[in-house]
Amino acid sequence: MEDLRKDTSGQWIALSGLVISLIIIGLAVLANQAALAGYHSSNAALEFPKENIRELNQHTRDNAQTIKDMAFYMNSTTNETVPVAFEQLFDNYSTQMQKLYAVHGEVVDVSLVSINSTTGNYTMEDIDMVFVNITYDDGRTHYSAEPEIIEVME
Amino acid sequence: MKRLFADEEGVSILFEYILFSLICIGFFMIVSVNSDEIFMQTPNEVVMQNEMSDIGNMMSTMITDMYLILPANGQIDTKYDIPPKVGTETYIINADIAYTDQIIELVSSDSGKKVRVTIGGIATTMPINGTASSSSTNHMISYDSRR
Repeated sequence: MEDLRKDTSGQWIALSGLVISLIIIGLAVLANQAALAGYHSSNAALEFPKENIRELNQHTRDNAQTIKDMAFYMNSTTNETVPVAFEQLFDNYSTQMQKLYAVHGEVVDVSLVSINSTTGNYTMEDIDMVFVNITYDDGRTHYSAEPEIIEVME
Repeated sequence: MKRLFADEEGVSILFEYILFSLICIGFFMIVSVNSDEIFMQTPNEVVMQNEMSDIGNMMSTMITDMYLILPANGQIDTKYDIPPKVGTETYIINADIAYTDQIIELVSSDSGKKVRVTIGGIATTMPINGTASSSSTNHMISYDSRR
């Protein structure tokens, strides 16, 4: 052991070993980077507001039904006609939706086009369809359904 | 065999030096000749493959989403962002073959690399067409029920 430590010859071999090991380390680092690059792809972000539009549509459908029921209730308690009551209630709904969506930076407009009755009477059974314009805009996506036909049959 | 272990004489330091130098030079030459292939092209190829199928899938998802909510009477327009380059190359999204093949194709303009993504048969009920270049500033998908 003493011999091994005292022996100072063979410097070149030691130096070559060092150089080779450094080269191999460098190459290993490079090879690792190359391998990692393969997994580092970009995630294309999807920002399509599918759920927002669906919700707006679904809400409007649900509310048209509710508003119809409320309009008949108003008609029975006050002397408002059903179409007028419906219109007023729908306007309220529209204003609320505009405010709710504005909080998220989205512009929506829900407006009543017409209340349809096949028989021409406005009783509970006769109002069967409501035509509503729905528009939605969040700056990137513009949606408009003109008109959206909503069935409000019981 | 016993002589091999007993023999403590090595090659001369000069010869050792030459040997190591030759090994180093040989190794370095192999690496430098293949370095472009190993360190540039292969990763680029992998990045392009991944990123192009990413983008293709995003397009496919977006078209499917639009298809799910499209109005009976009305229209939808949506803007989207895609990276201007994948790896080192620009590319074109081609949806013109969607009607016949039910796929969207991404074609790289330089190397001609193609990645195809399925759109799940939507094009039979909703015609899809158009191309988009990655280098243009605005990208948009439009639907209109009246057309």
